[in-house]
Amino acid sequence: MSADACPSDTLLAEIGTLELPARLLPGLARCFADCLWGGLAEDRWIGTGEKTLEAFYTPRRLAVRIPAVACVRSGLTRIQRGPTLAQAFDSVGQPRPAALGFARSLGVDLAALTIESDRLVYQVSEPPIRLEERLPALLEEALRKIPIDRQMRWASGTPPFVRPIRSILLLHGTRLVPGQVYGLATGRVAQGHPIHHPAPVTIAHPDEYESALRNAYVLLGRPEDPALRERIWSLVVESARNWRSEWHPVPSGATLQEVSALVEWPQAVAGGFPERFLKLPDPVIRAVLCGQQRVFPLADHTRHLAPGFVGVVNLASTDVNRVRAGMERVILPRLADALFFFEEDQLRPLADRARDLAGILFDKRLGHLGERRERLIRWVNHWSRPFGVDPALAEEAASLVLCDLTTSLVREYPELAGEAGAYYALAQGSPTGATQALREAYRPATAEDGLPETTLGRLLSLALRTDLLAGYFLIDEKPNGQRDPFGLRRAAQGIARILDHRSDPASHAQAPGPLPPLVDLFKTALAGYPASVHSGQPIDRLAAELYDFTLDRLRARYLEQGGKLDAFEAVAALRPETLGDFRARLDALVTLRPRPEFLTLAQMMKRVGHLLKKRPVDTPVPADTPPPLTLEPVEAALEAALAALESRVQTALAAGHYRAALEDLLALEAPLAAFFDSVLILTEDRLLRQRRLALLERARDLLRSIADLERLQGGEIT
Amino acid sequence: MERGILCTPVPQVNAVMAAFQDMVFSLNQFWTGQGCLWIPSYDLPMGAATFHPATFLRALDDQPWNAAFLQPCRRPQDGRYGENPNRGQQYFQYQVLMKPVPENFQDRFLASLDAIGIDRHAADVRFVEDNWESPTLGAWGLGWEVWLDGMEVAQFTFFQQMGGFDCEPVMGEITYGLERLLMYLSGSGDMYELVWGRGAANREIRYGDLFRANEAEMSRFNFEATDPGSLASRFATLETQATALLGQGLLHPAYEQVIEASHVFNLLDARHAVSVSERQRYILRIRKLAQAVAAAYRERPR
Repeated sequence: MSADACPSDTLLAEIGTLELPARLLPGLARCFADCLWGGLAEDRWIGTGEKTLEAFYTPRRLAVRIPAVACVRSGLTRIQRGPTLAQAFDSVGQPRPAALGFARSLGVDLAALTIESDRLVYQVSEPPIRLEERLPALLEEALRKIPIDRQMRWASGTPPFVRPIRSILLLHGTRLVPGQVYGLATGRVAQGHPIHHPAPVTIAHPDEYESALRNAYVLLGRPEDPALRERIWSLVVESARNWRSEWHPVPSGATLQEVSALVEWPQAVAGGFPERFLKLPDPVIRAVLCGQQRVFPLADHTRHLAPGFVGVVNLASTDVNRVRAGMERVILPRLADALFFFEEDQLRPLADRARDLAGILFDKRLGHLGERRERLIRWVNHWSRPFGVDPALAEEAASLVLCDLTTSLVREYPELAGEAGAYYALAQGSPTGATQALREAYRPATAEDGLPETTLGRLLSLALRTDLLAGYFLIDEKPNGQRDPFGLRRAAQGIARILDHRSDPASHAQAPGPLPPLVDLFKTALAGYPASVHSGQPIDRLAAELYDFTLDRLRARYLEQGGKLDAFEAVAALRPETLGDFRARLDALVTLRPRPEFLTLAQMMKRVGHLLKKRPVDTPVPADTPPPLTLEPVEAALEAALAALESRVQTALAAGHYRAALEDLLALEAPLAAFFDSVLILTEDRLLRQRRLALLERARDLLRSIADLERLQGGEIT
Repeated sequence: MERGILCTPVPQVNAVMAAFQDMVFSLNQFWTGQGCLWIPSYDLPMGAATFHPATFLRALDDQPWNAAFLQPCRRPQDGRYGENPNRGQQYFQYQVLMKPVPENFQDRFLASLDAIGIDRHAADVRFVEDNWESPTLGAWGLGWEVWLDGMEVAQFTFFQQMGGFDCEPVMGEITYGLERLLMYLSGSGDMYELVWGRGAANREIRYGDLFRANEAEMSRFNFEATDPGSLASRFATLETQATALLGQGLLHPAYEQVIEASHVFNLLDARHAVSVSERQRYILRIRKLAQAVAAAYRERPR
């Protein structure tokens, strides 16, 4: 068999399924492609260099195309290393259990083993192998490796998968790769659109995959490629324009993502609803249209919602009016329900609902929502003044923030928590300062969501989050790996973003004054829980853990935004009290880092760190010691530089001017360099040694008042 | 898109059918033609056709089982005194069960839509993830809700567990919501206006003629006239009886107590007589009984 007779070629694998869950779809396609690519690379069918592959999906298929996959893999020798000779044989050359066990584990006789570098080894030569002998197994392995939270079983004897598999397409160039995968024979056909192209689609070559499916009324999505979503959005925009030229669709990224995973042949259909439903607040209409029906609301040129929507269907219907009427008929009762809830909820003052909260569990180990409300009020009362907000307003907001959880509207649409309460409270005469905070209390709901715009909104959001985190840390329900059932990471990420908001592009908020230490915010939250929940755990330790947990989220976000880990760690080592302080130090470091003196200074700080670590344990100098020798000029210069800087830096630091302080400290570079060049630090003379080390220690302490430069990369002395 | 490429429509079995009884007859005819046994509805109030022993018990053994039936269902909480055109405390499910699940189960379901007169070249049919779980039955399944122009008209489920036991082989279940399907077919926005059929003197009888008075009275009963105290004690009695009956090897009577206990719990819930934590306890009590019945059924020699 020669590789020439059978050249490398492009591979196409497609798994035809029943409808896959839309929420998982792009991720499944990505995992499937990566898993198959990994299997092929590990088994040496493709080069392990740059990863070139294309992943595709529709609701009824996952596919991957990989170029340059070998057709024949040349023979290879595998070597399995066993015990050393001393372990393997006794003094008279009889095999010991280690040797026998090694042979048994391989399923061969002892005689089949050879000796290499004083070890027993097993060499096995594998003959050349053709792709079809391995590929079906690799494909099945790739499918089994995809992590799926709930696997479906659908037929006895077939392994489970996320949804039933109906067909396997497997092509290498123009060649069908024969075999069995998940009990199905591989083929070269894919499913077309169920109505527009019910006949199977034959794929002649992997490169024709998209065009062949396009002709069968199937548009392929690709993970991380917005083309399909953009196409659907343009259909939506066009449909809205044709319906009422003065209206335009309101974008919703989540809805667009979802509908793009629900259709193979997207078509947009516009429809309307009676105007009387416009008396519902916009977020309620959006919750009904986007959340429940996965359609896009329409707005007029003043950006007010209009009584219409655009839905995306999977069919070029022969009777579009009927589809429109059908969609309208579903939306109407849902809007009617929402309006009924909205009006019914307002028959009762929001504040009245506080007493119902005692009947709703927060968590069975952490008590009911009435208790949570009491804690939130106490927390907000404690911190309203330091945050500079009106205490009375803050208390009103905190006392109302959970009340809308008992309303019919929020029970039907949990995502309206906050919005609903804000609306009801405003209608019932609460001041706008408080109602705006209610509206903002759950922000940021996601990593992309905007932050609360008012200080009271931020305070309320912090109250909800610190209370949640404190509670679950008290009962030791910390996130573990992928598991985070109570959304604690999201809560901490919100805290990190709110407190670090000056760096957040999503924020339009003005900078507040200096904020209280982060651990203190957590301590207040922890102290809010009764002794029965505490069961004697020290508050300080838990508050420190919560500080670290929040810093983890800050770190993750900083890295995502392209920040450097070492700079983050250089500041984190000092555990700054507030995240504002943290950010100021980090900014100073990042700004001055490109300066050449900075690099030298950082390198020298590493050296100082080593020296101080190596420092011999010196006994203190006795009092009757003769006066120290006169200073060398470089010592004197360093001493003078330190003395000059110490007070200036202290002043700058007290004002939070880290950048100015660090810039001043760059002046240490020259005297320090001269010092290292001219004097021996670890000299035999104990007095001199102590004096010189003390100077270095002063320099280090001074720099450490900003960040631990020893943790920076790129400063190694070579 | 060029119209010419659209496939020629499949001939409609019953293109103008728009009466409730006719839809049921069509489904009976279709599914018996697919090898399903037609069986009667169960004669106890229940929240869903999953409680029918033909579903719950038959999902637990390893024998093939194809069945189809109409099941009246009750959800006391959903009562609206006959005034809401979309919601009622009683509604009708059409249930199809196939074990093992035929490879083309979905195609058969789509053909059943053709059979009741849905033109799939005009109507947008979609399968949207909807995983089913019944905490009271200790059961869960994976599957879809079926959308017709955005309206959920059916559930399509592959049972994974029933009574806490893995279903092996897996049973497939289709549950049609008949009122919604017919509202779609007739273009009506009011279930009480749906045509049920023709009766004496060839008079057209509507859904509301048959059920609106019942709906209004049953809503009053569910929300206002039941006695939570005696419901709670009835629940306790049913629970004790179920355990005792199982001890005597009376599996089917024991399961009937479970069905009733579940309905009594729903009645209590409709009176808001159950707090959040109590609610969880009630559900666990029913699940424990359902699991005991399931275990007894599986141990029974066949």
